[in-house]
Amino acid sequence: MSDSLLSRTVDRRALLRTGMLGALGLAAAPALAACGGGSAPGGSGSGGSVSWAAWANPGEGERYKKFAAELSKKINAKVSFQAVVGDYEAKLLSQLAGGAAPDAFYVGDGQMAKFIASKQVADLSDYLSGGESPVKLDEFPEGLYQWCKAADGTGLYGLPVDCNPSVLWFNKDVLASAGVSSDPAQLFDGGAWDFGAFTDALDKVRGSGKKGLILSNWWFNWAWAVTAFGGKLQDESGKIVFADDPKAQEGLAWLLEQFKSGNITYAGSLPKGQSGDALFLAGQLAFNNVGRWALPTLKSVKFGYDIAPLPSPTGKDIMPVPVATAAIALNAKAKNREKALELIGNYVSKEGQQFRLSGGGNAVASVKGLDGLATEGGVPAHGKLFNDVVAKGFAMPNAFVSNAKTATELPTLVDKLFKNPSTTAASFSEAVTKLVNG
Amino acid sequence: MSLDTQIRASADAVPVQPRRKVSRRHRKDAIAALVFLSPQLVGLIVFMIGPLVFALYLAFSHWDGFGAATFAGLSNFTELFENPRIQRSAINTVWFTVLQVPGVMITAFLFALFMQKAGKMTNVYRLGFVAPVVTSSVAVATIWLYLFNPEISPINSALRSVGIPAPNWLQDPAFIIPSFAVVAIWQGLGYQLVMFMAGLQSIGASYLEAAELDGCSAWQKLWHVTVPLISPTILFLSITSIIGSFQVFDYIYVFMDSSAPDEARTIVYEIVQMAFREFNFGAASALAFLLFLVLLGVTGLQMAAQKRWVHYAE
Amino acid sequence: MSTLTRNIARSQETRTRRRPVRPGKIILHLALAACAALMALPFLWMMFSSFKPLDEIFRQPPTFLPEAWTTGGYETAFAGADFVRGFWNSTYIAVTVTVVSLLTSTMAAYAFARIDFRGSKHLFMVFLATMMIPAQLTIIPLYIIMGWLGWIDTPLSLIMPASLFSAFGVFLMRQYIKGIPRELEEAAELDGASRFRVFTTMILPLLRTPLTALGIFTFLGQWNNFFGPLIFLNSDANFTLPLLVNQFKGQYGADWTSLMSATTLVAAPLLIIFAVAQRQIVDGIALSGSKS
Repeated sequence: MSDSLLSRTVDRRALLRTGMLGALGLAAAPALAACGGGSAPGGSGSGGSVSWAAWANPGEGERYKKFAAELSKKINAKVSFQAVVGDYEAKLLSQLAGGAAPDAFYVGDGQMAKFIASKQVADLSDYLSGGESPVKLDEFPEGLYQWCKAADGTGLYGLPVDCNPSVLWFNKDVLASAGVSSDPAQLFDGGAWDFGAFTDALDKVRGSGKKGLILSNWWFNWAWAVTAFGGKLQDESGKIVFADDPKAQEGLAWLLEQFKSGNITYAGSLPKGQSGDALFLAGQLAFNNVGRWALPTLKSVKFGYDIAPLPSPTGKDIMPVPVATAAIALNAKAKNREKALELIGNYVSKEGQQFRLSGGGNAVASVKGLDGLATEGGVPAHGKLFNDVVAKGFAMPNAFVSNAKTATELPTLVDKLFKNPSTTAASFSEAVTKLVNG
Repeated sequence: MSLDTQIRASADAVPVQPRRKVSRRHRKDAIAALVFLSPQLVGLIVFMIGPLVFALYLAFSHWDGFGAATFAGLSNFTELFENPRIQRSAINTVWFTVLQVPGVMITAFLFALFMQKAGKMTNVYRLGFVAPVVTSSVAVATIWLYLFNPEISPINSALRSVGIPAPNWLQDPAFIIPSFAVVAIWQGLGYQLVMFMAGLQSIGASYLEAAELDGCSAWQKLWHVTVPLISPTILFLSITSIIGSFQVFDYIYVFMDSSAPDEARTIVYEIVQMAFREFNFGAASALAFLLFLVLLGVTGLQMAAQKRWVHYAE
Repeated sequence: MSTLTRNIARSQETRTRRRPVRPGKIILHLALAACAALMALPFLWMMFSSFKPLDEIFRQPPTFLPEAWTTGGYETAFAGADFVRGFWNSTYIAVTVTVVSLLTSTMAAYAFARIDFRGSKHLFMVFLATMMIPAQLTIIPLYIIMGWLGWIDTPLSLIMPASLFSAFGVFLMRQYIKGIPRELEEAAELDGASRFRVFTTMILPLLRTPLTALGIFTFLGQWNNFFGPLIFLNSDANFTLPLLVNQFKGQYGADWTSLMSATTLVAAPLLIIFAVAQRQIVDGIALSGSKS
C-alpha cells in the first residue's frame, strides 16, 4: 500500500511537471524564435521608433507598409504600421487602457469628442503653425476638420487623412434601358441636373422594374437632402438649424416623398456602404450613393458607369454635401512625441497623400492641390467632380457627434423615423434636432 | 418497463468502502483533486478571476475607459432600469433563446438519430452539416444578406410563387429576431450534431439491441434507453447553448453594424455598444452583471433539476 | 448476472445478422443527402465564388458554378497577404491549444467527476460561471494582464489562456467521465492502482470519441478565433489567418474576389481535417458496460 502511495505521488508530480513544461515549452518556442528573428521594432534609426495604427481598406495595407519604409528614411526613425482589421474601437480602447497604444492613430468621427474630452489625444495646432510642419492648416478645405476641434471650438486634435465625398454613381446601361436619354453627368455638364431631372430618372427606372437608389440610415446617405436644396444644416456655432429652414424642409420632404413612391428604397441599418453595393454591382440598381471607395470593385464590371454630383436647384451648381473622413491623431502619451508629430505631418502633407493614395483609387485627397489623384486613370470619366464636391462639402457636423451617446443614437433614431410612414419633414427635423441639440 | 431501473441497479452495485479508511482517503482525495485541477486552476486564477472581479467592480463604478473609476453605488443599475431599450433588448434576447436553443437541439438530435442509420454515408452527410461551422462570418453575412434581401431573395420568390406573402426579413420588426435564430440554428447544427453523435456512439448498440430483445417499441427504446443514456450530453448542450444564446451579439453586428434598430438589439449588443461606443463601462458592466445573475439562476436550476432526469452511469 | 447483461451478450451474438434493404432506408438517404447539401450550400457558394470574376459574383439571377473560371482572386489574395506565414501562425496556435487544453481540461474533468473533495460542487459552478460574463467586457483587464506578462503581440497571449482554462472543455469531459461505469476503476483502485494510472490507462482510452469531438471543436474555435488575435496581435508577422482574411474587407467596401478566395483558403483545410478526424468519432469504441 505505501509502495503504491509513493509511486502515485511520483506519478502525479511527473505528470504535472511534464504537462506544465510541455505546455510552456511548446508555447514559448516561437515567441523566443520571433525575438531572435529580428522582427522586433526599435533597431534602426537614431530617432528611435514610432508607430501608427489605422483601419485599412483592401490594398491600403500594402501601400501603408511601403509608406512606412519611405517615411523611416525621411524622418530618420523606425516607422511601423499596425493594421487593425476589425473592431477598431475595442482594440484602441484596450491599448489605451493598457498604456500600449501606438504613438499616432486614426480616430473616427464618432469617437473624437470623447478622446479630446478625456485627453487621450494631443493638440496639434502648435505643431501645424510652427516652421517644422510639412503641411499647413489652410491647405485643408475648412469643412473637413471642424469635428477635430474641442467642444469649445479651440485646438485641433486630428487631421483628415483623406476623404470620400457623397456622390451619385450611376449605371449608364440601366438608365439607358429605362429610357433616360442623357445621363446625369451629361445633364450636369449641360446645366440641367436639378431635382426634377433626378426625380424623372428615378421614375423611369422604377417603371422599368429596376431599383433607382437605395439609402441607409448613415448621415452620409441622407444629410445631403437637407443641404442640396440650398438648406442650412448648422449655424456658425455648430447648432443644428435645419428645422427652421424652408429649403431644408423642401429637401427632406422630397426625400420622404421618394421613399413613399418607391423611387428610393430605404434599406435600414446595414454595414456602412453596403446598402446598395451588391445590387449596383449586379446591374440591378441605377444609382448608388457612395464615395470614391467604390471604384476598385467597379473597375471589373461590364456595364458603363460614371459619377454625378447630387443635384442642385439650378441644375449646374455643386451643393455642400456630406464628406466621409477620418483623422490621424497624436497619442497624448506618445513615447516618441517628436517623431510622432513628424509622422503625422508627413502623413497628411501633399507629398504623403500623393504617395498613399496614388494607384489605389479608393479615396480623395484631404488637402488642396492634389486634384490629379481623383482623375487617375480616367475612371470614372467625371472623376474631377470628386474634387469639386470635396471643396464645397462638409464633414460630420459637430453636433451629431458632440458626445458619444448622441453619435450612436442618431443613426438609430433616423432608422426609426425613415421606417415610420407617418414621418414628415417637420417631425423628422424636430426629432433629430431634439436629440442633437439636447 | 424496467430497463432503465435495471441499468441503474447494475450501476449501483458498487463495493462499499470500509469505514475507517474514509478520513485518510478524504485527505488523499483532496491532494489528488488539487493535482488534477492545478493547470486549470492556474488558468482560472490568472486569466479569469481578475477580469471578472474587475467587471464586477465596474458595475458599481463610473468609468469611461480612461483614468480613474469613481464609486457609483447602484446608479448604473437604476440607469439601466430607466432605459426602456434595455427591456426591449432583454425580451429580444429571451425570444432568440426560446427559438434557437430548442430549435437547434431538437433538430440536431433528430438528425443524429437518423444519421446513426445511414451507415458509411454518415461521413459524407456530416461534412455537409459541419460546413456552416467553417464558413467564414464574411461569407455567412454576404449570403444571408442576399437571402434576406426581399428584392432578390430566392426564398421570397419561392414563397411568392406559392402565394405566401414574403416578409422583409431584416426590416420587419416581427421577423428580425426569428431571422437571426434561423442563421444561428443553421450555423450551430453541425456542432450539436457531432456532439449528439459522439454521445449516441458511446451508448453502443448493445443496450438498444438488448432493449429490442426485451420487446420494446422504437418509441420506448428512444425514451427509456437512448434519452437517459445521452442525458449527460443533453444537459451539457442545453446549459452551454442557453449561455451562448443569451450572449448572442455577432449576428446583429454582422448584419446591422453599430446602429441596429431597437427590435434587433440583444443584451450583449447593448453591453458592447455602451462600453466601446458610448464609453459607459459602468452601465455596461452592470448589465453584464445582471445577465450573469440570470444565467447563474438558469444554470443553477438546470443543475438542480438534473437529478430528476440526467442519468450518469455511477 | 442481470437480464440486461445477458441480453447484451445475446445481442452481441446476433449483431452480425444482415437486414434486407428497405424502402425506408432509401427515403432516409435521400432526405439526409438533400439536407446536407442545403446546409453546405453557402460554403459551396463561397468556394465557387472564389473562382468567379467579380461581376459574376453579384450577377442576377446568380450563377452557382462559375461560367468563366478564374484564379485572379487567389492571385491578389496571395499578393496581398503572407498566407504561408499566417498558416503557420494559425496552425501552431491551434495545435498547441488543442493538445494542451484537451489534457488539462480532461484532468480537471476527472477531478470533478471522480474525486470526492470538499467544495467540488462550488468550484465547478465557478467554472461554469466564467462562461456567463461576455468576453468583450473582460477584454480590457485581460489586455492589462497580458501587458504585465509581456505577452502582447506574441502567440502566448492566445495560447496560454485557451490552454490553461476551458470551462467548456472541463464541463464536456466531466459529463462523459460521469457516464462511464465506475466498477472497473473501483476494482483497479482496490488493487492499488494510482489515480494517475486509472486516469491514463482506463479513463483516457474510453474517452477517445468525446476527446476527438472536443479536439475538433477546440481546433475549429482557435482556427476561426478573430477577437483575441485582433486585440492582442499588432505586427502582421504574427497575424493569424482570420486577420489576414479580414484585410480584404475594408471600412466601407470589400475586395470581393480576394475575400472569397481568402475565406476559402482558410476554411477548406478545416473541412479536410474534419473529414479525416471524424473517423475517430465513428470508429470510437462504445463506452458502455458492453466492453466487459
